[in-house]
Amino acid sequence: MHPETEKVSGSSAKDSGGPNPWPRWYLALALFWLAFVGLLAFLTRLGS
Amino acid sequence: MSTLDWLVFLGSQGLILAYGLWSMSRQGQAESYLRSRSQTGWMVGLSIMATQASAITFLSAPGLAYREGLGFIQFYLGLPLAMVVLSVVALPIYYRLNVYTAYEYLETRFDGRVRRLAAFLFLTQRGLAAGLTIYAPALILSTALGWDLLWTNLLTGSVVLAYTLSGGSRAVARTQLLQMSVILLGMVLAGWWMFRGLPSDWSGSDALQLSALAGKTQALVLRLDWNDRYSLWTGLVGGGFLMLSYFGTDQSQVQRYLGGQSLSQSRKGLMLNAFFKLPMQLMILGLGVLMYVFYVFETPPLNFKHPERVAAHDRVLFEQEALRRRATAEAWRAATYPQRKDSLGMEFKRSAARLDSIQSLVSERNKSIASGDDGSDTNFIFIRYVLDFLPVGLVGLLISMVFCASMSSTAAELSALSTTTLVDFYARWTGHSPEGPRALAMGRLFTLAWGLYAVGFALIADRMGTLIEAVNVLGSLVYGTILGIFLSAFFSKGLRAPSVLLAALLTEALVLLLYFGAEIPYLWLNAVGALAVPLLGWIVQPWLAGLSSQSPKTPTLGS
Repeated sequence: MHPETEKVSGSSAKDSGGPNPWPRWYLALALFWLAFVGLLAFLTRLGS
Repeated sequence: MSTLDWLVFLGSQGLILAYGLWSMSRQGQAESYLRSRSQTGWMVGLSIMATQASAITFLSAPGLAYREGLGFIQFYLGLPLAMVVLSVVALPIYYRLNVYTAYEYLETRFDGRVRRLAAFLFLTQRGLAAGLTIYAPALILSTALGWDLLWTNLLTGSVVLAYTLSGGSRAVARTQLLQMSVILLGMVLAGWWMFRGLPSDWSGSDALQLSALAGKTQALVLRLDWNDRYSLWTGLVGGGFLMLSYFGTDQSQVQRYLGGQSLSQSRKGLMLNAFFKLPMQLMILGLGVLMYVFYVFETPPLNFKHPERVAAHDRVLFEQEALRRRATAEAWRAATYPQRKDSLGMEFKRSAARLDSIQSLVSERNKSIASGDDGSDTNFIFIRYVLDFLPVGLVGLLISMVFCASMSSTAAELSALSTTTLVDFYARWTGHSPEGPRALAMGRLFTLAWGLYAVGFALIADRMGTLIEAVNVLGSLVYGTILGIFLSAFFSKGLRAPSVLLAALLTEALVLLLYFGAEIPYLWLNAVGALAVPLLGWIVQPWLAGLSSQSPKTPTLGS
């Protein structure tokens, strides 16, 4: 049996009563994605 | 290859193989052969990336960027969003049910028929894709060493198979760490050497501006046009659905992240992939763009695949035009007056267009000369550069890099094909446990059978065009339907097994009809398939009401 089979509803931090870290990961990822698309837009503009 | 190249190639491959065999000696249980639960988030992330980045990626993508620029990067723009959806929705359910394969969940939610249909679709397309991942390095070795392609396919297929048989899921993941190290090192060194090959008075900024002038930095298409193969929208919607399906329902990936020590570590692995995949892919495509600039100063072959199939007058015409392009590029860089610079920029574009048209003409001729040859030389552009320009030692490392990429993908694919056959068909039908010595023996037997099947397909793969697209098209024909089944399971609590089964079959027919009849870009097929299954499911459910008496067994999202 897998060690986390009994606690699957979220992260271990959440299960232990701490703040859930994952929304911050997702927010950071969204900002990173926007910056990356910005870089692609810059590269595209260079050639126009 | 020189002796030093052979030493580097055989040394790095031998080290990885020895590590795989050493892992086998510690491998005794069926559970860790099918599913290893010992990895940290970093290991999971690298394993996911190594599985997706096959040799095809490193062969085709730089060549694609050399010809068409950075536009292909848009294919991956939906990936981060797909990682978040999987992290929130699918991963907790897979962990809760403690499954070996993604398809086990479908039996819990629907019934055995839906599970078998999804597993069958996976086996069909992944078996073929595994053939292509064996074919790609065979192509390189046959080009590099002048070996017969048939025997090279057989030889490389056997090596990969022997390695995978010895490995099992845990060894696959561990060797992938070494393989990713060789891949990253090879890429960085190739890029560095390419840049070194530019004229000494050309800076990075000059090279970037020249590639922009040639249209190679066109990375983002914002207009919504059905005819655009790659745009922000096809990448975000079509590519997003493809990534969701590939990472969420393709066992070769699910098996990777279910190998995490815990739910948290598996999530970290998905996030690592979400952050690093786009920059890595941009780097690979960037190599192709840099190669274009390099070949402005070094006359490229008129045809990278068949330099010998070029008429003398075409070659002379091409070389004269290449010299004109080079002179124009140097004058353009030296020009200070804006009007003069603009006029030279236009002249450079015209010269580049003339070179392209000569090259296209030769490709068309090659296409008509040889049956089974699509005329495309895209897959050979990067390897030609490696063989012609990289220094002794680095050639061996780059060949090793491509071989590593192939082995890491093929090993994960064969392992997943074997696990799915064992868990979703063999164990399900015979009632035997997927754990224990008998299952271990059967797992190895299925790995062998799938390996032979993949090698067989590799032998006929030479008749296909740009490989990277062939694999993606193949995936798009079934991925949408598989994802549609899973979306129905996750989000449509009221949908029942017979409705989903019929809807999935109708959807697959629709996708094939659209692909062969309507000629819409293949990335959209993922979205069509994924949305059609739940939609058709709801439409047919009232007619099938009498057949579907049981209520959903759950869990669905939020249950």
